[in-house]
Amino acid sequence: MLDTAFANLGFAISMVTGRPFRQRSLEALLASAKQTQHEFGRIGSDAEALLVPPPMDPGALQAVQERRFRAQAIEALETPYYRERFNDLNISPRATGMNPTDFPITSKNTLRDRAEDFVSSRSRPQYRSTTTGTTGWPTTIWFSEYENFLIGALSTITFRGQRIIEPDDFIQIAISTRARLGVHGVTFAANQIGAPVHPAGIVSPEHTLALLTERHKLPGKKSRVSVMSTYPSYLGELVECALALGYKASDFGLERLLLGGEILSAGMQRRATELFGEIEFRQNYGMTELVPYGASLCEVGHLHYEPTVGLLEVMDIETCSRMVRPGEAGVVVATPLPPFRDTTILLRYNTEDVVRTLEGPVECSLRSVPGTTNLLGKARLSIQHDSGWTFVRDVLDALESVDDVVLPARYGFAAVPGGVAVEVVARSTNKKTADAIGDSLERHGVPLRRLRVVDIRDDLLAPLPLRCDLREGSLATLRKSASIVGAFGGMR
Amino acid sequence: MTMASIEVIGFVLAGVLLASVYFRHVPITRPPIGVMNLTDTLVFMFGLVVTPYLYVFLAPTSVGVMLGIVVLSILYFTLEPILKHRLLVWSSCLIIVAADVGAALFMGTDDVAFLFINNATLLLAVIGVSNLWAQSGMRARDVTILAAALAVYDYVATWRLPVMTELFTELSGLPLAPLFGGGASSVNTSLYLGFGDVLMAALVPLVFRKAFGKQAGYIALIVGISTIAASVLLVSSGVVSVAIPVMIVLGPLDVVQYICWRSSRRSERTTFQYLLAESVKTR
Repeated sequence: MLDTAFANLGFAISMVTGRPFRQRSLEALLASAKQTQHEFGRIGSDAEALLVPPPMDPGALQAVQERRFRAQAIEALETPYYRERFNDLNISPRATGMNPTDFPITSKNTLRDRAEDFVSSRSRPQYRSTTTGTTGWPTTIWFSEYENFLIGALSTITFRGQRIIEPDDFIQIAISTRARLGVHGVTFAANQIGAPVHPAGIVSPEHTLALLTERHKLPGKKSRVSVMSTYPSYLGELVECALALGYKASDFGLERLLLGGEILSAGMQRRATELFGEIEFRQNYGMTELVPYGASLCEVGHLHYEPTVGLLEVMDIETCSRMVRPGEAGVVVATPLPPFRDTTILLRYNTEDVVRTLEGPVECSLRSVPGTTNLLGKARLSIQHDSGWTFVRDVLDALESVDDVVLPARYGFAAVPGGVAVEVVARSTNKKTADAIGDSLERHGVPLRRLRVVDIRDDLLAPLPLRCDLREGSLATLRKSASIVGAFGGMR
Repeated sequence: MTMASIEVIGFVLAGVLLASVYFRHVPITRPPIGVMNLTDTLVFMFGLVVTPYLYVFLAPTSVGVMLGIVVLSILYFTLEPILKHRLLVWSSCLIIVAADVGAALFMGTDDVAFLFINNATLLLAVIGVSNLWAQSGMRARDVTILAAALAVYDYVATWRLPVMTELFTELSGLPLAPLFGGGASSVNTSLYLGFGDVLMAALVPLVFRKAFGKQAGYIALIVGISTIAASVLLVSSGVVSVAIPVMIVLGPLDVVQYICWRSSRRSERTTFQYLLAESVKTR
């Protein structure tokens, strides 16, 4: 207990002062949590709260964040990109009175094009992680061993503290195995907690369904996969495939789905629940560029961003030059603060993810933590029209709530005079289906001016990319392909 | 058997039995992460060796303040799971401490009423500390190491060095003294028993019950109470005229019990296994 208390103290000091975490403290905390789990069967429900600093009043919080931001900006002088940029703009992070808003915004494109110019000369880059590249050429982020361990440790604390993974769970990771950090976080946490984990990747839905229904006989573990980490679009593929193959709820043992990387619509949740039975959907917001900074979804659907880990700014969509008003939509501009990042340094990174700031009194359980609405979509896919904005979430929520729309919704939308044109794949192209889709879009506030319903995916003119298409092969699939080649063309 | 010995043995009996009842029915509030381990045991042992010197060398007022803070915090975590409401818990703790200090100041530390209040306060502390440790997952191995180390320490401090005698003399004049006492109005009838001895007598049965089952718990309980009762009777009846370090008897007996249970049961149960096996209210 005393060693745990000292480890807690070390963790708290790093959280409060921004000094690097000591790996020994983190290891002691993880070991202590493991011992507690072993001794008592579970850890206290308030374990996570123990490691999170108490809420601060807005003034104190701003002072802490500005101090940390300045420390990160000084560290940024060690990177070729920011050194050059600060020189060009004649900015000195060491000058007194500098505010975060005095520093330039870092765009996605700049990071993508000059990834290694963001690496601190004092760092020891050891792990290359890339984004999945659904929106373009993958962006590289370099991480040190310190960051790699820290990400695993923080994931463990979260998963264990929020009881997302229990020791008797059977975990399957159905995200791209190239999404190294996502896989690492869950795998590390599962190993620490003692739950078996299978990083299966994005294989064919038939294969994944077979894995989900497979019976295991591991001692002390659930007999079927109980927790799956995946993308919402891949979940949609699984739902469609399972229904087509005649699976029912009793075939599965799923209890929790960890979803991220894309927007999860209400329709998708309803339709997944109809297939799998009552399951818990756990959503969060995170991205490789900012990790471990991210946000957790509260019980009323707000995203809450841990203020000691990063600085959140919500800037206007068009120019990214002004902070938005309460209730207004804007893009998330974020800075991971020390001591969480020491290799790829990012200041005021424009994620291009759109959210709305919260207005009025916030009543949720995480009200003391800065929050926004859930993600609305990407800025470059958002459409401004006479009656406001249409975001990806508006269209996706509308489409996936219609049972005739095949999951995951494959669709595109574009601005047309006076509103929005939408194209989507549905089971049928008849008038009834088109009317149902049109009504749903209107109900979700989409000013629909043109609707194109197709029943073949390839007929879409400009579909949005989905992460479920980051498909990986399997030997079974390859053998199947080989036998087809053999049957029709002979083996060479 | 003197009144003093009846009073002291009565409090020991009540303390040990009530600690067991508390263990079965009251889940103590423990930190969400952390298990009582060997490091904690060794640190406690170190504290135990150093504290008497602090008590002897510090001014009585400073010792009184230290004792007050320690007793207040022990009473808080003992009563908190029962009384629940923070205001109620704090007011109860303050009333108990105030009664003890008040009785010492206005009636004197050799008064029967003070001794009764102080014994009752210590009884609550025994229940709280033994349960905090046992319910925090203390292992039978660790409590046995502690008992063995205390046996050596008790022998040295009581019979080889003047520390324990000086400590008893120093503390017996203070409120909240960690001594169960009786018959203090006269030197001939006065009888004092250290808090640590009663704590060990209460703690070992809880930890052994968790680790090895009901039978182990009951035997440890009987061994603890009998050892203390025998020591008290030997002193009060005049058969022995010097202070008896109780742990030099209780410590080896605990070691023997541990060895027997460990070899017959092969392994210790965790708290989780104990709760499952004995269907105790979830902690």
